[in-house]
Amino acid sequence: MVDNGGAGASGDDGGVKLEQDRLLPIANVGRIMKQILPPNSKISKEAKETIQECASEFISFVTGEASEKCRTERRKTVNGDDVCWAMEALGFDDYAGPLRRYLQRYREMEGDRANQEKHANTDNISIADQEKDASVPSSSSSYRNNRGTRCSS
Amino acid sequence: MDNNTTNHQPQPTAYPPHPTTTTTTPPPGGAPSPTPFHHLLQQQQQQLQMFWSYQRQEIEQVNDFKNHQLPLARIKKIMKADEDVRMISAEAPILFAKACELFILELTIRSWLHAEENKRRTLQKNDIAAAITRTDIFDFLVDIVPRDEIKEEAAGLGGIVGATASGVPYYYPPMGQPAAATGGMMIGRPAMDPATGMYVQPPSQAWQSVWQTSATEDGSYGSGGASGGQGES
Repeated sequence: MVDNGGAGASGDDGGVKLEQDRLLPIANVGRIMKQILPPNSKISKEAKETIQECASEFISFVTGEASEKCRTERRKTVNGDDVCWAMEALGFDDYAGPLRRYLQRYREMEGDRANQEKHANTDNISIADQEKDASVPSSSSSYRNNRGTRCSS
Repeated sequence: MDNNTTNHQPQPTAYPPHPTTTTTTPPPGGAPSPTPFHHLLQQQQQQLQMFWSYQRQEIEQVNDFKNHQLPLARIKKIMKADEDVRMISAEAPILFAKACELFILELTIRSWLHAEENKRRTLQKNDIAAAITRTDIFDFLVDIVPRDEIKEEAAGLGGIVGATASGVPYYYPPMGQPAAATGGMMIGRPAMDPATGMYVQPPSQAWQSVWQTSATEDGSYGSGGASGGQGES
């Protein structure tokens, strides 16, 4: 999986909360905003920064809810279903449906990929492995839950 | 306010119209004449529905789950800022990359409506404050925008409502078609100037980059339809 920006060491930065670490890059945020705004529009720097903050808050807000669900259910890993569930629980009804669909398609695609890689390479969890501290011991446990059958090597 | 009677959903989708638009706080002054206000709210609702409809289509066509508009590692860092979060499945940041994209888009759209109401082409922080105030599900963001920006917004609404018969915050009318168009995918109806009750220049083609591939009347985008490009991009 592409992991652009600070790839390898995705661990802690020694506890120091650098501002840039808790925000999404402003360039990326600005680019997304531009997609929906008319070509002759401008975005003040302050507005971009505000959206940046809002986006991080959004992630934290939803993650908190998802994580709470996991805690209640005594699961250690926050997965895609938890995120979708949290969206809905928090009232982001418009988001839940499309995101579930997105997740479903992602899993299908990863399923295909896993099958291909299995043949190319005994280690068919190369994708998940890039996320060193991702919990997934083997290609998404949720994927497995969903698909039921997974060709194990 | 009785939005539901006039609220027609174009298609039976699994996605209800954005909750906000049916629960938007009535203007403090009290809506003098609900009809135009209703109407514009309805238009806004339709536009948002169009936005979601387009996003759903996009999702059906996505093939690349590896390249995202937002860095996954950063998303993960933000998630992990929460101490209670222990492990994160590989798919969660991917899903959030998409979710944040939708979020940023939606918040931007809603903010832009406010900028247009104020006849500005530059999106400002107070536009975002307005969007947050007007949208129930964005309540969790109130602390991010200063109170004075929000108060300004409320006063603005009250002012507009008090002053004009049409009563409205000019919720963003759809673009594209002449005024006679009804319901559905109206695009291009010019914004009504509440002061004069006349249609002013069409709202900008905020959607053009989004809707172009899905619009049924592409021709209208180029010039903004009947009202053409009066000071319009």
